[in-house]
Amino acid sequence: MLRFILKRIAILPLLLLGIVTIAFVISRLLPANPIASLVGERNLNNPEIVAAAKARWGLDQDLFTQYLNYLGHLFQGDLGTSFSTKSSVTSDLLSRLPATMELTIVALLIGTLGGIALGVISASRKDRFADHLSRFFSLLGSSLPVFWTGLVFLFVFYAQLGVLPGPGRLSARIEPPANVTGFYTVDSLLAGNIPLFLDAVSHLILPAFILGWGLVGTISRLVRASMLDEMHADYVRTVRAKGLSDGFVMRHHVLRNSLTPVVTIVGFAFGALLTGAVLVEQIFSWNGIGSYAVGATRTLDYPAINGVTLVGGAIFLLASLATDIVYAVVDPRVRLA
Amino acid sequence: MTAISLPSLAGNARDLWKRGSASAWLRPPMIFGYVVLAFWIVAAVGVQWIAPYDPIKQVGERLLAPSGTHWFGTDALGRDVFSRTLYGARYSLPIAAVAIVVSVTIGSVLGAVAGYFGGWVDAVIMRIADMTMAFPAILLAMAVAASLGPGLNNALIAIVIVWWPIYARLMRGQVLSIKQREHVESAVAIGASGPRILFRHIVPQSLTPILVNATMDLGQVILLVASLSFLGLGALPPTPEWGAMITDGAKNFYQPWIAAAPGFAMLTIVLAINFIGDGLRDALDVKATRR
Repeated sequence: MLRFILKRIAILPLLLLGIVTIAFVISRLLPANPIASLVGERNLNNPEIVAAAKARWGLDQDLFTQYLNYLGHLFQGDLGTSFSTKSSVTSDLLSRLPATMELTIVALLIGTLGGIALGVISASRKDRFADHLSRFFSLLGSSLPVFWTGLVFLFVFYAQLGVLPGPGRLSARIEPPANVTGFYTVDSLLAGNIPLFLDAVSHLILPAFILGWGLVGTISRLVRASMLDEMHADYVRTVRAKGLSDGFVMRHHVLRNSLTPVVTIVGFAFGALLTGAVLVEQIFSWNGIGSYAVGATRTLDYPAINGVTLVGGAIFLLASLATDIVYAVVDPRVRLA
Repeated sequence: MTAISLPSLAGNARDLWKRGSASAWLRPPMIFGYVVLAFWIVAAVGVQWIAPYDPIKQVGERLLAPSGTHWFGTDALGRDVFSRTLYGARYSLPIAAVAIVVSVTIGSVLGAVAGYFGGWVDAVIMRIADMTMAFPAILLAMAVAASLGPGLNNALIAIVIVWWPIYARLMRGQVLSIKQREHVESAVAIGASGPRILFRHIVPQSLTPILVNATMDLGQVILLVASLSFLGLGALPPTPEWGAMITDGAKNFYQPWIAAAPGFAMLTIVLAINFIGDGLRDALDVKATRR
């Protein structure tokens, strides 16, 4: 068990080096001109200013030297200085990461719990109305463009019905809680400020639901398929023969054994949620790394683009690692294979 | 169970029709899918005869609510939203289809080569694929699209870069399992060359799961194209692309008709494709191998 985990952790640096390299290559090999965004269009004709800017940002060296410099800085936790905010990308990202993580984690909870619930309904009412309805709801989630759903839901629940707040993490004129974890929900509870907590939660509902909805389909499909498989297993016939009720068999035997595959896709789910988060953050003015990434791509802010891509890749790798470990704990066959 | 279902995974395109009864191909959700998809294909081809107005020119007052003259209203520049939505079919569907075809081709060839030859070729190709897949799709696509500059063609390149590893991985798995079969062994015995064995005897047998996955992915790629446009990295104004139209709609939040039509159009087409893909998967009994 320990060997399995250590082996997975040992290759992590290599994987990280791989994604660093890919992120670097993509951001440098392509033709867009970052100088324009640095010095402004007007100064492009002035060779002195251009040369000074290139030297200032290290763009006058050859690509390989730039790569080595970049790696060297990375080792010290330095992702470079953003062209546009002129502050360290590392601190920019750290200050924005909690917002994205809070949104993504709540969405992951909604998606997983919702997916399991719908999967159970589908499997136990196979080919009946409830099954069709829940499968349609799931499919709808993976067919909707999240940025459009965000607009529609904001229009309905905020502008028309007024039951949920508009964009942002908190209502206007409300001060965020003292920074401990960066999660407003957690920090407000730590500060014992219940109204603030409720405000943060009400702002989370729409974006987290929309983000989680896409995941519901993936998970419910998985749960449905694996429950239908399990239902025909011999042990299920045995416990039925013992006289246990259908509901009890479903809950305590079938469902429990059907959940293992769900564990395997949480890593994948996290990556998918980060993708959705970029778009949802844009609609909900959510000050996370997604909206940071969008701003960076608009201004051709290489260090910032690099930083975001890297952090996204790293989060995904860590989530996959965690998935593998949890899976190995839950299912001994994996680590013995 | 495995012994029975494995052979049924193999088969070339002609065999697709033989397997599964006709009713498996004509279940209600799939029929809905065919009809909606056919509608959009007709719209994309014949839009200049169907659309009531020019999609680029100002044809009425600004921000008109839906009415008899402008079914879905007009946008901030006085353009007809209904006409623009119909024209949108000319961008989303073909671009997503091309992106998928190119990704499937590149991914399948690389995956097949990796699986057949093994060794360092396999290691290099699959490590690059793994690394690429480690990035959240949109972040990588955004990085590529930003570096190449905005535009639909560059968005297409970005999507191919993000998407090929999925098929490489799928194809490699297929090739690895089919390589063990007897007909391959006989081909080796009569002295067929490596590439000939791979592309005549193995790859055609591996296509079913690839095609089913490609169908299911088409919907996701349509959404990705629109997402990039929504973020300003795909279609440029005044192109009537759905994602870009939704950006216009977001700017005019209190005129909901501007974003409603393109979003609904996208929903119908992606839902249709997902219905078809879901049905195909059931009809052909392909186990979902998603990333």
